[in-house]
Amino acid sequence: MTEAVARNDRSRRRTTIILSIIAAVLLSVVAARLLTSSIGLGLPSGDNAWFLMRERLEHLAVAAIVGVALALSGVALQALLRNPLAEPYILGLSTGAGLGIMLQGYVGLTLAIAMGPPEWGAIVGSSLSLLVVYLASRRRGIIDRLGLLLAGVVLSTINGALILLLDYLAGPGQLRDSVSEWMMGALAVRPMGLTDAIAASAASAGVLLLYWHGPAMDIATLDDDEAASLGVPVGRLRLVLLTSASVLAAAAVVVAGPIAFVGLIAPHLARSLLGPVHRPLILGAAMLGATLLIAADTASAAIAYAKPSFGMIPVGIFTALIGGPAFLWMLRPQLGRGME
Amino acid sequence: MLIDMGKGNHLLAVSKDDSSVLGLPTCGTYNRPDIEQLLALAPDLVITQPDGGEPSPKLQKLADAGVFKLAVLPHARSVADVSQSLIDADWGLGAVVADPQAASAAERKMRQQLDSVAAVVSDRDRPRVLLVLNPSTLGVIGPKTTHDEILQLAGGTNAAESFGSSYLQLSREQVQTIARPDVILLIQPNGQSVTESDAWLRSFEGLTVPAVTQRRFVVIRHPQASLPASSIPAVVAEIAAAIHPQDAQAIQRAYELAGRVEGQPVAPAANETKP
Repeated sequence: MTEAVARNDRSRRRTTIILSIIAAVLLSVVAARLLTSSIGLGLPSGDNAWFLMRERLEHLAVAAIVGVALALSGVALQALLRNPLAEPYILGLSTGAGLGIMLQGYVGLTLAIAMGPPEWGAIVGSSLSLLVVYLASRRRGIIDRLGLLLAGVVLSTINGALILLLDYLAGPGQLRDSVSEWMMGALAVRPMGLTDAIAASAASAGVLLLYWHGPAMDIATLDDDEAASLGVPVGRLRLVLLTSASVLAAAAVVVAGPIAFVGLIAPHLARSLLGPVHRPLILGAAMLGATLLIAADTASAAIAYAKPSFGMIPVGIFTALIGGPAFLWMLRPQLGRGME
Repeated sequence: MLIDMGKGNHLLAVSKDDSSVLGLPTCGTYNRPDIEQLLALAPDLVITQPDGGEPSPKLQKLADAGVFKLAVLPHARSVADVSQSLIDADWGLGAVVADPQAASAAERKMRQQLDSVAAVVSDRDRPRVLLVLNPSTLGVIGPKTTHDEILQLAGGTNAAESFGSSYLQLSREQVQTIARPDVILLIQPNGQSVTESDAWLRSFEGLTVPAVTQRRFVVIRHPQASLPASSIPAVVAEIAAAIHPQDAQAIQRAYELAGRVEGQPVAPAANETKP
C-alpha cells in the first residue's frame, strides 16, 4: 500500500516536472518570437516600437490560440475514435470547416443575403465531416483504424475539391482573395478582432471541458461496456468529445485556414512524454500545440528577415513539412499490420 | 490584341483567360484548351499564348493534321513583349493574320497612349505604391514584373521594390517600416470600389504609413488588370489616375486622344496638369 502511494507520488512529481519543462520550452519560444521579427532581431525601438511590439504580441496570441485549438481537437478525436493517428486535418475536419465557410459565403453571394459570421459555417462543416468519417469507418459497431484514416483522407480530398468548385463558380476573389493561399494555412495579417476572441474562448473552454472530462476519457479507453460499468456515461462523453473536436477545429480554421498535423504531433509528443493519463496529456498537448505554432511563426519571421525576397512563408507549410514525415513514421506499424 | 488591330469581327471564341472580351464564348484556357468546343467552332486559325511556351499536345496534333493553322505567341511579360507579339516579322500577330500594317498601327497606338499618359505624370513626385494582389495575406507584387513596369509608366515607385521578389507575402511590420506606401492599390479585375466597411482594409488597420493615415486605397478594376497585354495602356491610365488623382482628368483625356490620333504624344491642357 505504502509502496503504491510512493509510486503515485513519484509519478505525480515526474508529471509536474515534465509539464514544467514543457512550459519552460513554451516560454522560451515566446521569448524567441518577441525578439524575432521580419524586420530585425531584438526588441523593437524607436517611433514604431509600440506598434511593432503589439504586432508581435498579436502574432503570438493568434499562434497560441490556433495551436491550442488544433492540439486539443487532436486529443479529443484520438480519445473519441481510440486512434492515436486521428487528427482534424487528416480526418477532413479542417477542410470540412473550410468548405462550410465557403458554402456559407457562396449562398450569401448567390442569394445576396447576409449569412452571419463564418464561425457557423465552419462548425457545421467540421461537425458534418466528423460524422461522415465516423459513420464511413464503422462496421458492426467497431471503427476500423486504417479505414478511418482512409475515409478521412478521401473526405479531405472531396472537401478540397468542393472548395475549389465553389471558388470557381463564384469567380476569382469573390469568396476568398486566394483560395490556394488560404488552403496553405497562415496566421492572418489583420489586427485581432471578434473572430480571434471567439476562437480564444473556444480554446479556453476546450481546455477546461476536456480537463474536466479527463478521468472519464481515461476509462473510456476501455471498451464501451467496461467504461459504462465503471460509471462513465459513454454516450454523453462521446457527444462532448465530438462537439469539442469539431468546434476547436472550426475555430482554428476560421482564424488561420486549414493547418495540418499540429493536432497529431502535439498530442503524440505529449503522450510520449507524459503517458496516456488524460489530464496531464491535455495540458501538455495544449502547451506543445502553442509551442509548435509559435515556433513555426518565429521561423517564418526569421526567414523573412534573413531573406526578404521570401516574404512571410505561411506557417501551414512548416507544420506540413514537419508533420507529414512524422505521420508516415507513426503510420508504419499500422501499415505492417495490414500486410499481415 | 486582335481587337486592337481591328480584327475583332474575325474572333469566334476566346480563352477563359480573356473571357471578359466582347462576351464571346470561351473554349478552355491557353494551357488547357477545350478541344471539343474548339472543333465545334471550326476555326481556320488558333492563336495561343501558353505559360510554358509549348502549346497543348492535342492542339499541336490537330494543327499538324491540317485541321487548323496554329500560331504560338510567347507569354508577354512586359511592354516590349507585347510590342514584339504584335509586330515581329516571323511570329507576331501581324505576320500570323497577314496584316502587318494593322499590327504596326495597334503597336503605335499602344506606344502613343503610354507615352501620352507618361507625359502627364512625368514631372510629378513618384509616390511609393504597394500593389496588393491578396490583402488577407498581404500578398504583394514586387519588382521585375509587368505590373512593376506598368507602375513605373504610371508615375509611381514600387513600395515592395527592396524585397526583390516578384510576389511575396509581407508582414504588417514590413509594410510599416520598410515598404511605407503612400498609396495602396488592390489589383482586382471587375472589383468594387473601396468602401470604409471593406474587409480587406482591416489588413492595414493601425498602420501609420501615409497611405493609411490619408486613406489612399484604390481598387484597380480593369477587367484585364491582373493579366494585361495590349490593354496595358488602359491599366497604366487607371493606375496613373489612382496615384495622381489631381491629374486624373488630364490622364484620361491624354489616353483617349492618343487612342484616336496618330502622331506626337498628346500634351494635356496646362490648367489640367499643374495644380
